[in-house]
Amino acid sequence: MKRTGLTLAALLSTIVFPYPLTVVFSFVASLFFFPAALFAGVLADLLYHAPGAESFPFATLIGAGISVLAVLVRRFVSSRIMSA
Amino acid sequence: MKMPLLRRRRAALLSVVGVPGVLLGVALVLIILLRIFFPGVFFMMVSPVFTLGTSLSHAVGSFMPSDSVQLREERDALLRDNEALRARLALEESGEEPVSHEEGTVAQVVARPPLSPYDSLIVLPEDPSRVRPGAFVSADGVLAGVVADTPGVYARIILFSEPGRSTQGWVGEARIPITLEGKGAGAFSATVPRDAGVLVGDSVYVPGPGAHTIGVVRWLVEDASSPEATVVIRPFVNPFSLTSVVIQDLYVP
Repeated sequence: MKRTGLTLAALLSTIVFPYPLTVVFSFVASLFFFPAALFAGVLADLLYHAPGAESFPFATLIGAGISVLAVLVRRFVSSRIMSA
Repeated sequence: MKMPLLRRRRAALLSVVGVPGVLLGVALVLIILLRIFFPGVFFMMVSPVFTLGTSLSHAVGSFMPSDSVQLREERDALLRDNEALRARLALEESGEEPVSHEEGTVAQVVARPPLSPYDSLIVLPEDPSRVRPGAFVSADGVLAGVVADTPGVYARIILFSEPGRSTQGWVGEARIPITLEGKGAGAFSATVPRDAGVLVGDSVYVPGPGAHTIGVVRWLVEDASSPEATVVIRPFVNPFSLTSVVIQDLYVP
């Protein structure tokens, strides 16, 4: 339930909140459900990246990066802190 | 007993992301398909949420200190008026007919930075039939960008300040040619020779029919070891506070 709620909040934040806040939401959601940030990134690109634009669709890439970071943080926490 | 490969994969996927994850994944794929094949329907569905986001942004903005912002906007409006009068005077002296840059359709801004991570706007034009990709877009009489695509009744606008975008322009009274590099958040930069005579406060122009002022030189970054200087430009259009734009009939095919 918590995972679903956080993931939905991350996805909704792409439409409601400024993108720096979306990054925070996505990271927190990814700690509990790792593809959440990737999903949020894809959704942001679907909404805001225009075909033919000069810029690369970075949101998906950043979302994937946040997902990887969240997995690493979660592994670190579970192996170093929770097991200690 | 050994499980079949497909069942093992499904079990592995479920153990990693869980049932809600799989459902979200499926929902996202459906959204992607909807966005690709029925873009109008997709934007129609998210429009009420966009409106909520815009209202929230305004609510947050009303708590911010506004004196300096208001003074800056007034100064920008005066500078724009000054430039417009100067351009009109030059046209009258040359005997050419002035070109109206406001012929087009008004569009309400539905989503803008910082909601959008790129320098893009999603707008709802009053007359979608007049909107076509490549059309110039102006805000407060200043050229701001071009229409990138028109999903349904909406239009997506890419601002000239989009990161990575290069736009040819001029700077100063001497019309020194420069290439404006978009830096995001409405800002630009450009490189000029150090001895070109560019000064802080010089106007920056982009070509349309004639020359349009889009901002002023805010500062020059010079290095004694380099023959070039970087020009940092402050635009007249603030994409964070745009509420409506004019999509012009004039377009670049």
